[in-house]
Amino acid sequence: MDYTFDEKSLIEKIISGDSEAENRLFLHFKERIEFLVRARLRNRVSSDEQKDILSEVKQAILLSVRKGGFDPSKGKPLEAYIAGIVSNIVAMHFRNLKMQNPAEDIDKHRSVKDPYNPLDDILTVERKEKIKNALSKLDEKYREVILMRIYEEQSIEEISNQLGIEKRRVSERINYAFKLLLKELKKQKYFQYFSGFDK
Amino acid sequence: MKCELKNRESLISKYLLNELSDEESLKFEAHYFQCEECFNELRTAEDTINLISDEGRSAFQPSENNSSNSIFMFLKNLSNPARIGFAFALVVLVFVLYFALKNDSTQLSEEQKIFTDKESSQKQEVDSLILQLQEQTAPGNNLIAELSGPQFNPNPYYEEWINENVRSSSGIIDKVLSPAASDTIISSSVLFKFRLSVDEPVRLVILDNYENEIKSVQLKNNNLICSFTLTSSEIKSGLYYWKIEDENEVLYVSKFYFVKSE
Repeated sequence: MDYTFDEKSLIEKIISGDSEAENRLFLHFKERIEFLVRARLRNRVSSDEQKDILSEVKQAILLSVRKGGFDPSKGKPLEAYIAGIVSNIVAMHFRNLKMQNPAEDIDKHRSVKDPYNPLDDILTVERKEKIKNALSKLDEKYREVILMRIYEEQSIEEISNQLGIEKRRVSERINYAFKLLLKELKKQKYFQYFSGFDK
Repeated sequence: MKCELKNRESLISKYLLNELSDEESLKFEAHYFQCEECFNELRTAEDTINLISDEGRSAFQPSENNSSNSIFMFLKNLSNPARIGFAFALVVLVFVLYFALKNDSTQLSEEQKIFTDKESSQKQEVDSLILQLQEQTAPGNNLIAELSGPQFNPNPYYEEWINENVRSSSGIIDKVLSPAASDTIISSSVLFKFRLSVDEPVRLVILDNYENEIKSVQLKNNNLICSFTLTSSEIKSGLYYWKIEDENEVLYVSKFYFVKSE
Protein backbone atom coordinates (compact mmCIF):
# COMPACT_ATOMS: atom_id res chain seq x y z
CA MET A 1 0.00 0.00 0.00
CA ASP A 2 1.43 3.40 -0.95
CA TYR A 3 1.47 6.02 1.70
CA THR A 4 3.55 8.95 2.82
CA PHE A 5 5.65 8.46 5.89
CA ASP A 6 4.56 11.47 7.89
CA GLU A 7 6.65 11.08 11.02
CA LYS A 8 4.89 13.65 13.20
CA SER A 9 1.31 12.53 12.57
CA LEU A 10 2.33 8.87 12.81
CA ILE A 11 3.80 9.36 16.28
CA GLU A 12 0.71 11.31 17.38
CA LYS A 13 -1.53 8.49 16.14
CA ILE A 14 0.54 5.86 17.98
CA ILE A 15 0.28 7.88 21.22
CA SER A 16 -3.49 8.03 20.73
CA GLY A 17 -3.59 4.20 20.35
CA ASP A 18 -3.89 3.78 16.56
CA SER A 19 -2.68 0.22 15.79
CA GLU A 20 -2.60 0.90 12.02
CA ALA A 21 -0.03 3.66 12.69
CA GLU A 22 2.04 1.20 14.74
CA ASN A 23 2.12 -1.19 11.81
CA ARG A 24 3.20 1.58 9.48
CA LEU A 25 6.08 2.46 11.79
CA PHE A 26 7.30 -1.15 11.87
CA LEU A 27 6.86 -1.60 8.15
CA HIS A 28 9.02 1.47 7.64
CA PHE A 29 11.86 0.19 9.84
CA LYS A 30 11.34 -3.55 9.38
CA GLU A 31 14.34 -4.29 7.17
CA ARG A 32 16.77 -2.28 9.29
CA ILE A 33 15.57 -3.70 12.59
CA GLU A 34 15.79 -7.26 11.27
CA PHE A 35 19.20 -6.56 9.81
CA LEU A 36 20.57 -5.15 13.06
CA VAL A 37 19.38 -8.14 15.09
CA ARG A 38 20.72 -10.54 12.47
CA ALA A 39 24.08 -8.76 12.12
CA ARG A 40 24.80 -8.67 15.84
CA LEU A 41 23.36 -11.98 16.95
CA ARG A 42 23.36 -14.30 13.97
CA ASN A 43 24.93 -17.67 14.61
CA ARG A 44 25.03 -16.88 18.30
CA VAL A 45 21.34 -17.40 18.88
CA SER A 46 18.93 -19.66 16.99
CA SER A 47 16.51 -18.24 14.44
CA ASP A 48 13.66 -18.83 16.94
CA GLU A 49 15.48 -16.79 19.55
CA GLN A 50 16.02 -14.08 16.95
CA LYS A 51 12.27 -13.96 16.41
CA ASP A 52 11.73 -13.62 20.16
CA ILE A 53 14.22 -10.76 20.29
CA LEU A 54 12.44 -9.08 17.38
CA SER A 55 9.14 -9.26 19.32
CA GLU A 56 10.90 -7.82 22.36
CA VAL A 57 12.29 -4.99 20.23
CA LYS A 58 8.87 -4.26 18.79
CA GLN A 59 7.33 -4.14 22.26
CA ALA A 60 10.05 -1.84 23.60
CA ILE A 61 9.67 0.59 20.68
CA LEU A 62 5.90 0.74 21.13
CA LEU A 63 6.10 1.27 24.87
CA SER A 64 8.62 4.06 24.46
CA VAL A 65 6.74 5.84 21.64
CA ARG A 66 3.34 5.45 23.36
CA LYS A 67 4.56 7.18 26.49
CA GLY A 68 6.00 10.06 24.45
CA GLY A 69 9.63 8.91 24.56
CA PHE A 70 10.28 10.35 21.10
CA ASP A 71 10.46 14.11 21.16
CA PRO A 72 11.29 15.65 17.74
CA SER A 73 12.03 18.99 19.41
CA LYS A 74 15.15 17.44 20.99
CA GLY A 75 16.69 17.30 17.54
CA LYS A 76 17.31 13.53 17.46
CA PRO A 77 15.89 12.01 14.27
CA LEU A 78 13.29 9.24 14.58
CA GLU A 79 15.66 6.81 12.79
CA ALA A 80 18.39 7.34 15.40
CA TYR A 81 15.84 7.04 18.20
CA ILE A 82 14.54 3.68 16.89
CA ALA A 83 18.09 2.45 16.21
CA GLY A 84 19.03 3.33 19.79
CA ILE A 85 16.24 1.19 21.25
CA VAL A 86 17.07 -1.78 19.00
CA SER A 87 20.82 -1.45 19.62
CA ASN A 88 20.35 -1.39 23.39
CA ILE A 89 18.21 -4.51 23.46
CA VAL A 90 20.58 -6.38 21.16
CA ALA A 91 23.60 -5.22 23.20
CA MET A 92 21.88 -6.51 26.36
CA HIS A 93 21.40 -9.96 24.75
CA PHE A 94 25.00 -9.89 23.57
CA ARG A 95 26.21 -9.18 27.12
CA ASN A 96 24.04 -12.02 28.46
CA LEU A 97 25.60 -14.38 25.93
CA LYS A 98 29.04 -13.33 27.12
CA MET A 99 28.07 -14.00 30.73
CA GLN A 100 26.63 -17.39 29.86
CA ASN A 101 29.76 -18.36 27.91
CA PRO A 102 32.63 -16.66 29.73
CA ALA A 103 35.24 -19.03 28.30
CA GLU A 104 34.16 -18.49 24.72
CA ASP A 105 35.50 -15.72 22.56
CA ILE A 106 32.07 -14.34 21.73
CA ASP A 107 33.45 -11.33 19.87
CA LYS A 108 35.17 -13.55 17.36
CA HIS A 109 33.46 -13.81 14.03
CA ARG A 110 31.63 -17.11 13.77
CA SER A 111 29.89 -18.59 10.81
CA VAL A 112 28.65 -21.74 12.50
CA LYS A 113 26.08 -23.29 10.26
CA ASP A 114 22.55 -22.70 11.42
CA PRO A 115 19.91 -25.24 10.35
CA TYR A 116 18.08 -22.17 9.17
CA ASN A 117 20.33 -20.90 6.43
CA PRO A 118 19.15 -17.47 5.26
CA LEU A 119 21.46 -17.72 2.26
CA ASP A 120 19.30 -20.27 0.52
CA ASP A 121 16.26 -18.07 0.92
CA ILE A 122 17.83 -14.81 -0.06
CA LEU A 123 20.55 -15.34 -2.62
CA THR A 124 19.43 -16.20 -6.11
CA VAL A 125 21.81 -17.79 -8.63
CA GLU A 126 22.18 -14.41 -10.31
CA ARG A 127 23.15 -12.66 -7.09
CA LYS A 128 25.59 -15.41 -6.14
CA GLU A 129 27.20 -15.16 -9.57
CA LYS A 130 27.68 -11.41 -9.23
CA ILE A 131 29.36 -11.84 -5.87
CA LYS A 132 31.55 -14.66 -7.23
CA ASN A 133 32.58 -12.47 -10.16
CA ALA A 134 33.57 -9.69 -7.81
CA LEU A 135 35.44 -12.08 -5.51
CA SER A 136 37.30 -13.62 -8.45
CA LYS A 137 38.85 -10.23 -9.19
CA LEU A 138 40.60 -10.07 -5.82
CA ASP A 139 44.34 -10.71 -5.62
CA GLU A 140 45.44 -13.86 -3.83
CA LYS A 141 46.75 -11.97 -0.79
CA TYR A 142 43.29 -10.50 -0.17
CA ARG A 143 41.53 -13.81 -0.84
CA GLU A 144 43.79 -15.46 1.68
CA VAL A 145 42.94 -13.14 4.59
CA ILE A 146 39.25 -13.02 3.70
CA LEU A 147 39.05 -16.83 3.69
CA MET A 148 40.98 -17.11 6.95
CA ARG A 149 38.81 -14.51 8.64
CA ILE A 150 35.39 -15.50 7.34
CA TYR A 151 35.50 -19.17 6.33
CA GLU A 152 38.13 -20.46 8.74
CA GLU A 153 36.83 -18.11 11.47
CA GLN A 154 40.30 -17.07 12.60
CA SER A 155 40.82 -13.94 14.67
CA ILE A 156 42.94 -11.04 13.41
CA GLU A 157 45.65 -12.10 15.86
CA GLU A 158 45.65 -15.71 14.65
CA ILE A 159 45.92 -14.59 11.02
CA SER A 160 48.71 -12.18 11.95
CA ASN A 161 50.68 -14.97 13.63
CA GLN A 162 50.09 -17.42 10.81
CA LEU A 163 51.07 -15.05 8.01
CA GLY A 164 53.82 -13.32 9.98
CA ILE A 165 52.43 -9.85 9.29
CA GLU A 166 51.26 -7.14 11.69
CA LYS A 167 47.68 -7.26 13.00
CA ARG A 168 47.15 -3.82 11.58
CA ARG A 169 48.15 -5.09 8.14
CA VAL A 170 45.66 -7.96 8.37
CA SER A 171 42.86 -5.48 9.14
CA GLU A 172 44.01 -3.22 6.34
CA ARG A 173 43.87 -6.08 3.84
CA ILE A 174 40.38 -7.11 4.94
CA ASN A 175 39.09 -3.54 4.80
CA TYR A 176 40.64 -2.94 1.42
CA ALA A 177 39.23 -6.20 0.05
CA PHE A 178 35.76 -5.10 1.14
CA LYS A 179 36.29 -1.73 -0.45
CA LEU A 180 37.14 -3.38 -3.78
CA LEU A 181 34.27 -5.85 -3.51
CA LEU A 182 31.66 -3.21 -2.72
CA LYS A 183 32.94 -0.98 -5.51
CA GLU A 184 32.71 -3.86 -8.00
CA LEU A 185 29.27 -4.99 -6.84
CA LYS A 186 28.00 -1.42 -6.99
CA LYS A 187 29.26 -1.29 -10.58
CA GLN A 188 27.34 -4.51 -11.26
CA LYS A 189 24.19 -2.79 -9.95
CA TYR A 190 23.89 -5.17 -7.03
CA PHE A 191 21.86 -2.61 -5.05
CA GLN A 192 18.92 -3.15 -7.42
CA TYR A 193 18.04 -6.23 -5.37
CA PHE A 194 17.28 -4.16 -2.31
CA SER A 195 14.19 -2.14 -1.64
CA GLY A 196 14.57 1.37 -0.31
CA PHE A 197 12.97 2.90 2.75
CA ASP A 198 9.26 2.12 2.56
CA LYS A 199 7.89 5.62 2.50
CA MET B 1 20.47 12.15 2.35
CA LYS B 2 23.96 12.13 0.84
CA CYS B 3 26.28 9.99 2.95
CA GLU B 4 29.41 11.81 4.02
CA LEU B 5 30.95 8.96 5.95
CA LYS B 6 34.56 8.76 4.83
CA ASN B 7 35.56 5.31 6.03
CA ARG B 8 32.36 3.48 5.16
CA GLU B 9 33.83 0.21 3.85
CA SER B 10 36.08 -0.16 6.84
CA LEU B 11 33.17 0.38 9.24
CA ILE B 12 31.00 -2.07 7.30
CA SER B 13 33.49 -4.93 7.36
CA LYS B 14 34.40 -4.32 11.01
CA TYR B 15 30.74 -4.10 12.01
CA LEU B 16 29.80 -7.34 10.28
CA LEU B 17 32.86 -9.14 11.62
CA ASN B 18 32.24 -7.91 15.19
CA GLU B 19 35.36 -5.80 15.39
CA LEU B 20 33.73 -2.58 16.53
CA SER B 21 33.30 -1.61 20.17
CA ASP B 22 29.76 -1.37 21.56
CA GLU B 23 29.96 2.39 21.37
CA GLU B 24 31.16 2.37 17.75
CA SER B 25 28.44 -0.13 16.80
CA LEU B 26 25.72 2.01 18.40
CA LYS B 27 26.94 5.06 16.53
CA PHE B 28 27.08 3.24 13.20
CA GLU B 29 23.65 1.69 13.74
CA ALA B 30 22.13 5.14 14.34
CA HIS B 31 23.78 6.20 11.08
CA TYR B 32 22.67 3.36 8.82
CA PHE B 33 19.09 3.59 10.06
CA GLN B 34 19.06 6.93 8.25
CA CYS B 35 21.47 6.23 5.40
CA GLU B 36 20.30 4.30 2.35
CA GLU B 37 23.77 4.06 0.82
CA CYS B 38 25.37 2.54 3.90
CA PHE B 39 22.46 0.16 4.39
CA ASN B 40 22.72 -1.05 0.79
CA GLU B 41 26.46 -1.63 1.18
CA LEU B 42 25.90 -3.41 4.48
CA ARG B 43 23.40 -5.78 2.89
CA THR B 44 25.75 -6.38 -0.03
CA ALA B 45 28.63 -7.12 2.35
CA GLU B 46 26.39 -9.41 4.39
CA ASP B 47 25.50 -11.41 1.26
CA THR B 48 29.20 -11.66 0.42
CA ILE B 49 30.14 -12.86 3.91
CA ASN B 50 27.29 -15.40 3.83
CA LEU B 51 28.46 -16.76 0.49
CA ILE B 52 32.09 -17.08 1.63
CA SER B 53 31.00 -18.69 4.94
CA ASP B 54 28.93 -21.14 2.97
CA GLU B 55 31.17 -22.00 0.04
CA GLY B 56 34.72 -21.18 1.11
CA ARG B 57 37.26 -21.04 -1.72
CA SER B 58 34.72 -21.97 -4.39
CA ALA B 59 32.99 -18.64 -3.70
CA PHE B 60 35.94 -17.06 -5.55
CA GLN B 61 35.28 -19.04 -8.72
CA PRO B 62 32.47 -17.86 -10.99
CA SER B 63 30.77 -20.45 -13.21
CA GLU B 64 32.93 -21.12 -16.27
CA ASN B 65 30.02 -21.32 -18.70
CA ASN B 66 28.37 -18.24 -17.38
CA SER B 67 29.01 -15.94 -20.33
CA SER B 68 28.29 -18.52 -23.03
CA ASN B 69 25.15 -19.50 -21.20
CA SER B 70 23.80 -16.02 -21.17
CA ILE B 71 24.41 -15.46 -24.92
CA PHE B 72 23.29 -18.78 -26.34
CA MET B 73 20.81 -19.84 -23.67
CA PHE B 74 17.90 -19.35 -26.09
CA LEU B 75 19.28 -22.06 -28.43
CA LYS B 76 18.32 -24.71 -25.90
CA ASN B 77 14.69 -23.77 -26.32
CA LEU B 78 14.70 -24.02 -30.13
CA SER B 79 13.51 -27.02 -32.12
CA ASN B 80 16.00 -28.89 -34.40
CA PRO B 81 14.84 -27.29 -37.72
CA ALA B 82 15.04 -23.87 -36.04
CA ARG B 83 18.59 -24.61 -34.90
CA ILE B 84 19.60 -25.62 -38.49
CA GLY B 85 18.00 -22.39 -39.77
CA PHE B 86 19.93 -20.37 -37.19
CA ALA B 87 23.21 -22.04 -38.17
CA PHE B 88 22.55 -21.37 -41.90
CA ALA B 89 21.75 -17.70 -41.18
CA LEU B 90 24.98 -17.43 -39.21
CA VAL B 91 27.04 -18.82 -42.14
CA VAL B 92 25.39 -16.38 -44.58
CA LEU B 93 26.08 -13.50 -42.20
CA VAL B 94 29.76 -14.45 -41.95
CA PHE B 95 30.08 -14.45 -45.80
CA VAL B 96 28.34 -11.09 -46.16
CA LEU B 97 30.53 -9.55 -43.48
CA TYR B 98 33.69 -11.01 -45.04
CA PHE B 99 33.01 -9.49 -48.49
CA ALA B 100 31.84 -6.18 -47.05
CA LEU B 101 35.02 -5.83 -44.98
CA LYS B 102 37.23 -6.92 -47.87
CA ASN B 103 35.88 -4.12 -50.11
CA ASP B 104 36.24 -1.61 -47.31
CA SER B 105 39.83 -2.51 -46.69
CA THR B 106 40.71 -2.03 -50.42
CA GLN B 107 39.20 1.46 -50.30
CA LEU B 108 40.91 2.19 -47.04
CA SER B 109 44.33 1.24 -48.26
CA GLU B 110 44.01 3.82 -51.09
CA GLU B 111 42.90 6.51 -48.66
CA GLN B 112 45.71 5.56 -46.32
CA LYS B 113 48.30 6.34 -48.98
CA ILE B 114 47.15 9.97 -49.04
CA PHE B 115 47.33 10.24 -45.25
CA THR B 116 50.63 8.42 -44.93
CA ASP B 117 52.44 11.19 -46.76
CA LYS B 118 50.98 13.82 -44.43
CA GLU B 119 51.68 11.68 -41.36
CA SER B 120 55.28 11.05 -42.30
CA SER B 121 55.99 14.78 -42.59
CA GLN B 122 54.29 15.35 -39.21
CA LYS B 123 56.30 12.49 -37.71
CA GLN B 124 59.51 14.05 -38.94
CA GLU B 125 58.57 17.31 -37.22
CA VAL B 126 57.81 15.53 -33.92
CA ASP B 127 61.06 13.54 -34.16
CA SER B 128 63.08 16.69 -34.62
CA LEU B 129 61.32 18.29 -31.63
CA ILE B 130 62.12 15.28 -29.42
CA LEU B 131 65.72 15.42 -30.62
CA GLN B 132 65.93 19.10 -29.72
CA LEU B 133 64.51 18.40 -26.25
CA GLN B 134 66.92 15.53 -25.69
CA GLU B 135 69.84 17.71 -26.69
CA GLN B 136 68.68 20.42 -24.26
CA THR B 137 68.47 17.95 -21.37
CA ALA B 138 71.70 16.78 -19.80
CA PRO B 139 71.94 12.96 -19.59
CA GLY B 140 72.09 12.94 -15.76
CA ASN B 141 68.85 14.90 -15.49
CA ASN B 142 66.82 12.81 -17.87
CA LEU B 143 63.87 12.37 -15.51
CA ILE B 144 61.80 10.22 -17.84
CA ALA B 145 64.60 7.67 -18.01
CA GLU B 146 65.25 7.95 -14.27
CA LEU B 147 61.61 7.35 -13.31
CA SER B 148 61.22 4.15 -15.27
CA GLY B 149 61.81 0.58 -14.14
CA PRO B 150 60.10 -1.83 -11.77
CA GLN B 151 61.11 0.17 -8.69
CA PHE B 152 58.75 2.91 -9.92
CA ASN B 153 55.76 0.67 -10.62
CA PRO B 154 52.77 1.90 -8.61
CA ASN B 155 51.47 -0.40 -5.88
CA PRO B 156 47.71 -0.77 -6.47
CA TYR B 157 46.91 -1.25 -2.77
CA TYR B 158 48.58 1.95 -1.63
CA GLU B 159 47.53 3.90 -4.72
CA GLU B 160 43.92 3.14 -3.90
CA TRP B 161 44.48 4.11 -0.30
CA ILE B 162 45.98 7.45 -1.25
CA ASN B 163 43.13 8.16 -3.63
CA GLU B 164 40.67 7.19 -0.95
CA ASN B 165 42.27 9.83 1.28
CA VAL B 166 40.15 8.82 4.27
CA ARG B 167 42.79 8.42 6.91
CA SER B 168 43.99 11.98 6.85
CA SER B 169 40.51 13.00 7.98
CA SER B 170 41.02 11.80 11.56
CA GLY B 171 42.08 15.31 12.59
CA ILE B 172 45.23 14.20 14.45
CA ILE B 173 47.44 15.33 11.57
CA ASP B 174 47.02 19.07 11.26
CA LYS B 175 49.22 19.61 8.21
CA VAL B 176 51.79 17.66 6.22
CA LEU B 177 54.68 19.97 5.36
CA SER B 178 57.07 17.63 3.55
CA PRO B 179 57.28 15.76 1.25
CA ALA B 180 54.37 17.05 -0.83
CA ALA B 181 52.01 14.39 -2.12
CA SER B 182 53.44 12.58 -5.20
CA ASP B 183 56.53 14.80 -5.08
CA THR B 184 59.60 13.88 -7.13
CA ILE B 185 62.67 14.32 -4.96
CA ILE B 186 66.08 14.48 -6.63
CA SER B 187 68.33 14.66 -3.62
CA SER B 188 70.60 12.82 -1.21
CA SER B 189 67.93 12.78 1.53
CA VAL B 190 64.21 13.06 2.15
CA LEU B 191 62.76 15.26 4.87
CA PHE B 192 59.50 14.18 6.50
CA LYS B 193 57.84 16.99 8.39
CA PHE B 194 54.29 17.37 9.63
CA ARG B 195 52.32 19.16 12.31
CA LEU B 196 50.01 17.38 14.73
CA SER B 197 46.86 18.89 16.19
CA VAL B 198 47.19 16.90 19.44
CA ASP B 199 50.19 15.92 21.51
CA GLU B 200 50.45 12.17 21.02
CA PRO B 201 53.15 9.74 19.90
CA VAL B 202 53.05 8.75 16.24
CA ARG B 203 55.00 6.37 14.07
CA LEU B 204 56.39 7.10 10.62
CA VAL B 205 56.53 4.09 8.30
CA ILE B 206 58.22 4.18 4.89
CA LEU B 207 57.67 1.37 2.38
CA ASP B 208 58.94 0.67 -1.10
CA ASN B 209 56.53 -0.04 -3.97
CA TYR B 210 56.56 -3.76 -3.12
CA GLU B 211 55.41 -2.97 0.43
CA ASN B 212 58.79 -3.82 1.99
CA GLU B 213 59.26 -1.76 5.11
CA ILE B 214 62.25 0.56 4.65
CA LYS B 215 61.94 2.43 7.91
CA SER B 216 59.62 2.46 10.89
CA VAL B 217 60.36 5.05 13.51
CA GLN B 218 58.51 6.37 16.56
CA LEU B 219 58.53 10.18 16.50
CA LYS B 220 58.36 12.67 19.31
CA ASN B 221 57.01 16.09 18.51
CA ASN B 222 58.54 19.44 19.22
CA ASN B 223 55.73 21.97 19.71
CA LEU B 224 53.52 19.52 17.76
CA ILE B 225 55.97 19.44 14.82
CA CYS B 226 57.42 16.05 13.92
CA SER B 227 60.35 15.67 11.59
CA PHE B 228 62.64 12.94 10.35
CA THR B 229 65.32 12.78 7.66
CA LEU B 230 65.90 9.68 5.60
CA THR B 231 69.33 9.61 4.00
CA SER B 232 70.06 8.22 0.56
CA SER B 233 72.23 5.46 2.09
CA GLU B 234 68.96 3.92 3.30
CA ILE B 235 67.08 3.98 -0.01
CA LYS B 236 67.59 3.51 -3.73
CA SER B 237 65.85 5.45 -6.49
CA GLY B 238 62.23 4.41 -6.67
CA LEU B 239 58.64 5.01 -5.72
CA TYR B 240 57.99 5.06 -1.98
CA TYR B 241 54.88 5.13 0.15
CA TRP B 242 54.83 6.55 3.63
CA LYS B 243 52.28 6.61 6.38
CA ILE B 244 51.77 8.11 9.79
CA GLU B 245 50.15 5.89 12.40
CA ASP B 246 49.14 6.25 15.99
CA GLU B 247 48.54 3.26 18.25
CA ASN B 248 45.04 2.75 16.87
CA GLU B 249 45.07 3.44 13.17
CA VAL B 250 46.74 4.79 10.08
CA LEU B 251 46.37 8.58 10.07
CA TYR B 252 47.89 9.53 6.75
CA VAL B 253 49.17 7.81 3.60
CA SER B 254 51.12 9.42 0.77
CA LYS B 255 53.89 8.70 -1.73
CA PHE B 256 56.98 10.25 -3.29
CA TYR B 257 59.34 9.47 -6.14
CA PHE B 258 62.97 9.44 -5.13
CA VAL B 259 65.85 9.88 -7.55
CA LYS B 260 69.15 9.39 -5.83
CA SER B 261 71.60 12.22 -6.24
CA GLU B 262 74.99 11.91 -4.55
